[in-house]
Amino acid sequence: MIPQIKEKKLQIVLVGNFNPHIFHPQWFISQKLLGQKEGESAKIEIIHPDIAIFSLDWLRLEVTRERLVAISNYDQYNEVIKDLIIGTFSVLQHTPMKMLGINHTYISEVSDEAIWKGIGDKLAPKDIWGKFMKKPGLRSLIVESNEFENEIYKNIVRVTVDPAKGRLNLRLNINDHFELINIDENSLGSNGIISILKDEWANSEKKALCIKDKLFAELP
Amino acid sequence: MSANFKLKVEGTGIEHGSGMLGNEYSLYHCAKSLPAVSVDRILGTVRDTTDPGLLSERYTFSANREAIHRDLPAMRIINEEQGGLSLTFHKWRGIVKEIGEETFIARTSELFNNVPEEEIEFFRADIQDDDKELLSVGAEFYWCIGYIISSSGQQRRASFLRFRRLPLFTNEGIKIASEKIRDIQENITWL
Repeated sequence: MIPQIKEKKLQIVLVGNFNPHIFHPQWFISQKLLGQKEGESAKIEIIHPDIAIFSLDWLRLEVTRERLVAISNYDQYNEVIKDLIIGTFSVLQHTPMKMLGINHTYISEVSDEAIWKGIGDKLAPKDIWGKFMKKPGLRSLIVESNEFENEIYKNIVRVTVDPAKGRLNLRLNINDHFELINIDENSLGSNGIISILKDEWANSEKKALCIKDKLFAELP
Repeated sequence: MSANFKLKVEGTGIEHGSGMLGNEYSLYHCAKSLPAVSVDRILGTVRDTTDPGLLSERYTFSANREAIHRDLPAMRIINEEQGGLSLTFHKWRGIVKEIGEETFIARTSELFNNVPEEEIEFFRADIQDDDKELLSVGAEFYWCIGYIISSSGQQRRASFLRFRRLPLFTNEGIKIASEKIRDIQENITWL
């Protein structure tokens, strides 16, 4: 039985060297990346040289000196978040960046405990573990695949299956990771990673859907 | 008490309907030529909130029988449901082709699916306030249809329209693009 999806989340993660102090809602308004009303409605948690966090109804943005994370629970805003990131680093194009993660998370509810246990047994059969553990059960599973590598970047896909908050809730996280290779640290800007985001965006969504559908089709 | 009332909706003209004063009703509206949407959801039709509908907004009917629009366009429903979740099952990208007084026509293509482009007419009132200045011929937007799931677990269909905020071209960007074009032109091997 295919689990029913009850929640979808998206995270875009960038790794590089950021100046958190810039990431103030007013800056986004001034660059016309956010509307006036929307930007003014932002809830600012902290804006500091080392960390900036603010949220809108559809976005939570967390920026440290090494990492930027844009999170949304609202599936319809995925493209808007992607555009926001592209727009931001079209302006801040000299920001050095070397890695990009597009994380697709699906939360689904399993109908009963027998199926729940069956999923664990299917993904991690207990015949080995049962030989030396009394009651083995799957807590978390991570499967990684080096999908491809070209002259510019490599792509690694990490799939994590684990329990989500709530009873019989299953979390499937697909981390589509891209990493620039042979980079010259001195000339590094945002163009390389932003080009990957533009080029791989649609494919990443399709890839995540395909993994989800094929994996769920295999489950009891 | 059943009564006729005048339904006044900001930015969309005056529509008429009937209902019980003091109760809550939903106004169903959507793009006029939206595929798979039945006629009873045309702008201005007023139905009980228990009816299933694609888009619904809450209006309060005041004692003077005028509906007070709470200035929450359809796509802002999402914002009212903080803590709720959403699932989208169709996503389109649209390009504005013509702009009328109350509506605009756009060429839409479904994201992630190879289906033929369609022309669809949208109400300008469905554009959220911040995005109104972005409406122009050639402007791009995203349009999604899906479910909103409230924090109490209730599920209803909803629509979302959002104009793209694309950065302006920089001099450096124009220079890079020009160089690329020149490079392509110089390397064309004509038959």
